[in-house]
Amino acid sequence: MDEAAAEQGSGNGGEVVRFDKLTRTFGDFTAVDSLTLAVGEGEFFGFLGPNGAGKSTTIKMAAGLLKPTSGTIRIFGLDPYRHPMEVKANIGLVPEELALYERLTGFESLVFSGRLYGLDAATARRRAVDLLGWLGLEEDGGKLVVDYSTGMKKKAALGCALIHRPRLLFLDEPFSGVDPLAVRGIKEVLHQMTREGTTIFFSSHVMELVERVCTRVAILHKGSVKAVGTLAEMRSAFGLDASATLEDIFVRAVGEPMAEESAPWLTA
Amino acid sequence: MADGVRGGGRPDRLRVLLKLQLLIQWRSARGRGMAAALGMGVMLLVMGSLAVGAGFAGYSLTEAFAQRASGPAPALWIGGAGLLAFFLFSGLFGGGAGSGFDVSRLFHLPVAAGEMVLADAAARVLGPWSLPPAAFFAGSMLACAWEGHPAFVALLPAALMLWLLQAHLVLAAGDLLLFNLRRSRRLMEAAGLVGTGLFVALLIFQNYLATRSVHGLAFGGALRWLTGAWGVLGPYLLLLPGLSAVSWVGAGWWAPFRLAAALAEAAGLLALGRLLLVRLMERGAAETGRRGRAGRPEAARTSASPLERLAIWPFCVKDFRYLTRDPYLKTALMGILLYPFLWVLIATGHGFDGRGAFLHVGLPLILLLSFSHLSTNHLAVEREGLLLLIGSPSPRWRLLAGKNLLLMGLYLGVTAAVEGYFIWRGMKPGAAADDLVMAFSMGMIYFGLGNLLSLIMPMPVAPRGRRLVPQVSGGKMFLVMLAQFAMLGAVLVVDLPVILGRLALAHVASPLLVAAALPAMVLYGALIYAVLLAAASRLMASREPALYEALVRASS
Repeated sequence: MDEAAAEQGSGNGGEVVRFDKLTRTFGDFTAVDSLTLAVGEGEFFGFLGPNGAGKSTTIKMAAGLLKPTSGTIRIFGLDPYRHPMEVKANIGLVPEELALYERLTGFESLVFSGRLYGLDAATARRRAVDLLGWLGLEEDGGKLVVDYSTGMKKKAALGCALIHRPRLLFLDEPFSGVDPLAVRGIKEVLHQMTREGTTIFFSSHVMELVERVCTRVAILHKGSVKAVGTLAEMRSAFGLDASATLEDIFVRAVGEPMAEESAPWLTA
Repeated sequence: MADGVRGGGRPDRLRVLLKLQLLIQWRSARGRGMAAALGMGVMLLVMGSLAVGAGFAGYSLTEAFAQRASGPAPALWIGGAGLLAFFLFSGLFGGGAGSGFDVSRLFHLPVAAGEMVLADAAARVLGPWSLPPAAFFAGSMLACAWEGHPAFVALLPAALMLWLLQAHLVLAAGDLLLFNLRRSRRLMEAAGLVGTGLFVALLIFQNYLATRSVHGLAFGGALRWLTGAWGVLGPYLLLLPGLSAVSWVGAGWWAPFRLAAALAEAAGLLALGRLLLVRLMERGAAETGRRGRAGRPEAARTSASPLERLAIWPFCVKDFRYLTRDPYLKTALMGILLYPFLWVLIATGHGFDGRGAFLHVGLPLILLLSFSHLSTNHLAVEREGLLLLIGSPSPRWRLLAGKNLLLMGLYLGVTAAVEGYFIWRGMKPGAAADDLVMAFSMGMIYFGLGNLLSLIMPMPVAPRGRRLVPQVSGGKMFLVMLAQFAMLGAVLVVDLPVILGRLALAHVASPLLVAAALPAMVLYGALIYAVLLAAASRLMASREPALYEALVRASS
């Protein structure tokens, strides 16, 4: 993997996210291993990897939730552990395990989130109403989150992450369980946001989606970056022709799919 | 049937279920590392010596009573000893006994409900949380042997088995019965209050039976000092936590009706109070929310009420909504409200006079202890929501103060209700005001210290049945409980000027002096709280990644 390519942010403006030799261990297990990466302003950056590759751990470290074992993180040029409030005020996060209060209504969740980010009560309420409408939850804004389907909870979590209009958005599997119609609508708005300078750091397993929406992609495996760049750059790096999909690149970067022979009785 | 797949008989399934339960329970209780093992060892030692210690204390108190029966000091000691014994004993047992596994994960497997119940009950009796009561009984056996009563030594293991079976059966029945309600939220919400009441009634009934059987077997006049202890401590040990409702409702034919009427009245008042508070606090937001159900709101309210402008208000409102909607927190709240109510009835059951210091100082202590599960582990109770809190740029003192404000409101509300009862029983209204001020001061210090304990020793919790059960080793749970007691001691020491001032006010005739003293007492508590809050805020900012790992990542 070319380290220079990983460090190169290719957004509209300056560098928004930078990881330098970022490492995180849990006991003997190394979840993230000397990861170096840069993401520029206005990028829709895809972050791919198989289960346990270290995607969520990386996002949590970047969001100031999980302290790195070694290495450095810079968000807008700031260390999120030295300047936590400045960094947190400018980012939005949709984590894998949804950070929602299930016994609040959707509307109350959004208002509470807005207040946490310093919006006054009236602005938070106004934005919550707008977001519920945009996310297709206007009919369900008065229901408790515990009564929401998985997709509705994802939408509510996205609303909570957007209500303060963040400059950087970390999305960890944000579309799993969300209906295709809503995905399309959300994608359009997120694209619009990137055109206006918001950076989106997008982690997903859905190759087709990442291929369609992301301007640049990094493939993570066993805690380190195996490939990074635009689709064309990665095809070229792996010697694949122009018809190769992101899935082809992913398989080449990470390894072969599960061997069928390991459990022959399943197909006998 | 495919090769290697057997039907699996009932004994096979029971063995597998039992093994799984025991594995989970022992792993969870044992914890990791030397500190956890040390904590567990200390806990068992303390439980074992508790029986002997309580006996000695009771005996010496009997002597003290014989010399000066009406003084407040022995009563204070008895209350303290009784509380200590109860909280160490039942808190550990109740909290830990629920740390098995979630039987609902087996519902899709071909396992009969009866097998689940049987395996669950057996695993509870054989599980690690039988050790603390077993240590208590072992201490009693040693005491009996020392006094030369071998017959009772032989009887105590039987008493222990009886106690364990009764306790575990009630816990298992309660959990299995009420857990099913979790499957349907609406049904659970509707049946929540009734279900919790039923559970509490079962516990009361069980404790009545259990304590009577242990009494008969272990302490039935065999030991001079243990009998003396039982005579003095017994009623407090049994009655302080409201273990035996039968004692206070009387033994006549009307007793069940009195009990039912009291419970209905309390439930009705609770429901009414909650409704009024919800209406008051949610007026603006609820209107918008309701419009949301019917269709898109025409326009959101654009002005904020003065209360909404308070920086800590959103956190306070969120916690209040949660406390009144979350089934686990509602169960905890019911305990908080029932416990002081029963204590006061019992403490004043045999007359009101001559118990001044005991009631005035004892009441806030009892209340603060009953709030301890919410006030000393309040970040863990946030569960997944904690990620939203620590991911936000909101100043940390606001998060903590918002939580404290709600608990403070509840605590002072219950104190005021109890003081109202005291006034009804003949206490002067002025004394009630003095009590409230002292309670405020003690509460501020306790909740301020609670913030620090929540940050230093957080215990991840997970729902089980209708309770939030700590997911930590027995040793750590014990250390946290000791820390809670140490906090109470610290409150008594730090707030000593206010406590002494309150007791002195009873002898002060000058209204001017009283008027000057009360604001000073309030200010003292508020100042100490401000210092503690600032310290907790700084500590929280530095410990957030560790908190995330301990509370969210570890339990997800």
